[in-house]
Amino acid sequence: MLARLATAALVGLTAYPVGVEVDIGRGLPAVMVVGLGDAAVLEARDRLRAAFGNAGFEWPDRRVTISLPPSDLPKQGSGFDLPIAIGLLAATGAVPQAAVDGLWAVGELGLGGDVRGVRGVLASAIAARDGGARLLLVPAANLAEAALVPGLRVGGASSLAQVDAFLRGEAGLDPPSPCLAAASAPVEDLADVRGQPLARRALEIAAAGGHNLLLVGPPGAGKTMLARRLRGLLPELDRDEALEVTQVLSAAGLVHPGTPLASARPFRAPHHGISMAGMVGGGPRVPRPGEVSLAHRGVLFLDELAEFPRPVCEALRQPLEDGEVTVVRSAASVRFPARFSLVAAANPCPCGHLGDAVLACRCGSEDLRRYARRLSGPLLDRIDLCVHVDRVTADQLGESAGGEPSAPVRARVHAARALQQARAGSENARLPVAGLAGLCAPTPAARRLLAIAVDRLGLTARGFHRALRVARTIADLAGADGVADDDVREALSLRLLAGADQP
Amino acid sequence: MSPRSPEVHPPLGEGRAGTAGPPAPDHAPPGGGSQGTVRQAAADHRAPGRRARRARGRPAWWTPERPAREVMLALAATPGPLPAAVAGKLAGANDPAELLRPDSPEPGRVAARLDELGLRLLFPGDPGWPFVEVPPEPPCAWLFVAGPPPPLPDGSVAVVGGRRASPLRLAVAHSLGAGLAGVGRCVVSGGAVGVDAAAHAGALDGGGRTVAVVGCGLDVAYPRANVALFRRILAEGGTLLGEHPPGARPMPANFVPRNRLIAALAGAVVVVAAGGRSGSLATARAAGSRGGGRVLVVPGAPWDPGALGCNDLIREGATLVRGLDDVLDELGAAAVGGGAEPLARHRPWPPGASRAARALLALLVDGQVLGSSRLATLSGLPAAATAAAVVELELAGFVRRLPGGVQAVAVPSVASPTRIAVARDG
Repeated sequence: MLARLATAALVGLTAYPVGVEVDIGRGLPAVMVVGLGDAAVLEARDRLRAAFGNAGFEWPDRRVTISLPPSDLPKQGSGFDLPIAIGLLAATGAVPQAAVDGLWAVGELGLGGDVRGVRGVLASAIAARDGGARLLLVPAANLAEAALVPGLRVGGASSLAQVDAFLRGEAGLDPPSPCLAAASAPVEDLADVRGQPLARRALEIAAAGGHNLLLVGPPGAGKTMLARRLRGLLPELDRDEALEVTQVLSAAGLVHPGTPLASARPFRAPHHGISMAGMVGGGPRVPRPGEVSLAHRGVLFLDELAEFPRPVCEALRQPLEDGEVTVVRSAASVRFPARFSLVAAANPCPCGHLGDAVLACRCGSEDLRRYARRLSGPLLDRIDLCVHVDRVTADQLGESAGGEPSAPVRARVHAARALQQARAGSENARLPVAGLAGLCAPTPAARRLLAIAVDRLGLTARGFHRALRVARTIADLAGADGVADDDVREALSLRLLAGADQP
Repeated sequence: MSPRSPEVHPPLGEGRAGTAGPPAPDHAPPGGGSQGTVRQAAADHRAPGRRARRARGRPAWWTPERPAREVMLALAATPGPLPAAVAGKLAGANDPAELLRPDSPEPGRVAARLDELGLRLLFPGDPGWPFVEVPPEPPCAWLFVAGPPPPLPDGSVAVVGGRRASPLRLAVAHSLGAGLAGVGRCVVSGGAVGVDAAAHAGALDGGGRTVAVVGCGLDVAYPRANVALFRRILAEGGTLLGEHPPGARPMPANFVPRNRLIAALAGAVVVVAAGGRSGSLATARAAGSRGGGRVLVVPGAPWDPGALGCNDLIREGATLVRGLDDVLDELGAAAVGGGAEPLARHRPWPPGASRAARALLALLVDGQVLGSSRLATLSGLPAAATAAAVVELELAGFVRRLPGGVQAVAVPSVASPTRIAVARDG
């Protein structure tokens, strides 16, 4: 007897509809799974047999053929357990075939017959809605996540027995709870930062213009602390952005079961030992999202930038440019979203104490030159701002009052972003070179100053455009129409140092 | 300026200058059978402890009939022992032949190798031997020389200081070098980066001649950053010299004995920058203890770590230097007055310089690197104003930005009735 229902296979962030066909026919007892499944899919038959036994169901001692069409779509993971189990129940006649018509299901089975959560349920729910599902059956742990998709009936189950009872019309499923989004969790506040007036200012400019930022300072100066506070300066996620973020987290299996919808912008700080696949996404056969995608709509923080392997830094160029990353593996080529604010941190010199008020730097001039070369790597042409972070002095630490809290800064950032949207429809960091001068509208004094800077500071064409964009953001923060010479001066003080600018 | 001698090649070969690692000691004549000797010598340079275990004895080529000069030639080229220590033993009436080692190279090969490198070996009493009146202490037994022999000490001034001096102090070294060259004095210094290099460059820029005393073999490209400078010194009629045979690596122990030569080659030593443990202090004390040598010091603020040693020397009786005239005064030469190069690099305030810029520069005049957030805190200026003022100073040529912060490279000129600084706008 043949039973049919549907499920979804996750490829990257998108789930594609997959049929589940279970046939029980004549022949020696055997279970065949066909249709391009990976090891975890093939293991389903062992899990199913144990789950059936332990949950008190009879295992059909006949020839069972399980097909997962379309056969050319790669399928990974354990989410096919539940639909196959339902198909088996229907094929043996334990539940009526009518109960599984139009039913979609995803979920993993434990050996005791319990239903376990899987990753990518949000994408599966979208696929189910688009595929016209009557009902999507998900593990109870993923219920809230599936319920984020409007226009789809979802139900959660925590055991195979519950699913069986529901399909026979004897019991109900868990209904989705109404609370979907977490109360916005408090993010780190700038009020905790003592001193650091210039670094604060640079954070504000970075947030306002979408500029990438490099923090340079001795160890322990608070570079990580500052970087963490950038996401609190960015506008709150809107509903679409929150869904995008959640979809990435879902594909990575990082969704919080109770409150699935992302409420805060992500902050990712991968260690410099990270592999290429870990950074941009990868994995065997079908890629999974990497750190750049997990930081989508949030902040990617690279501490000790000089220690990151050069190829990994190179690989960041595409996402920084396009806001997405394409990963190709044998079975699939996948595009992940990766629009993040980059904050990098570096020591000023190999020992970390150049310019430190407390400890003397012990690096030789050749060390400094070599370090500057390593730092001026492939990534720096994507970074607009560079600021020194100094060690905070003891009396600053003792100050009872912190600095300005994040809320007023966020308000200024918001206003500046609104101006940018009204002017060019994009943040200043992404203004194209063509027409840049027209959009930035420098005053005559600012123009003269830029010309002098090109002359005396050896500003390159790229540095020139960068300074103009940053100056535009500074003027936007002040609510000014034109870019004044003081805006340009401040922008120039935040420019990157060329590798040659060494003693 | 002495004419350029065509037979003197720069001792630093082109191939060497381009290679990545430190050059291998290579002073054996090509084709000779003493490759083992060379390696042994290199090992000896790296690990002085092995010296105790090496076999003593005379080399195979030695015979009592060998002339004394040939024995000295071989001794000078013997890799390993510190030349100053050997010279001390020779002064203690040791027979040079007793000091030879089994790996002392054959004198004929040494002479051939020196010819090949364009070097000369001077012994006391040779024409051009500089230490005629007051010898260095401990004594010097020979000098390897590239270029013309150094002038007699009376006409020379040593300008010395640390490798990591602040840009302002480097500017002082440069302008002193140029000023001394302008009045016809030869500038003597080491071969290090920092003040040494700035003093040589200043003297050459001023059209004068300089003597660089190095702490390694003259064919060893060290420090790499100065290779071009050494070429320029030779090309413009200057001298490179040292006690170490070709191929000798720059061991730390070489530099204090090197400093006594700098002191002995000059009638006065000007210390431009010396931290608490600077090698320049050894130079100054060598000059001070030698008798005739005079010690002059550019002072610093008591809290300036780059001037701790300078101020110590002044406490010990060295002469304080405010400008070139003070140096010339000490040498008994006529002061050149207002026409002299100003001591530090001065720049005129640009018209309309902001108060913020003035306030920041006042915080930076000790030459230290200050982070910009610290500058804002110390000056009490808002962040945006501090940032703008830093760029104002940078554009005017007063400061430079480093990865660790901001550092002054010039100070504003202050016109006064007695001393009118020469403003040089770049």
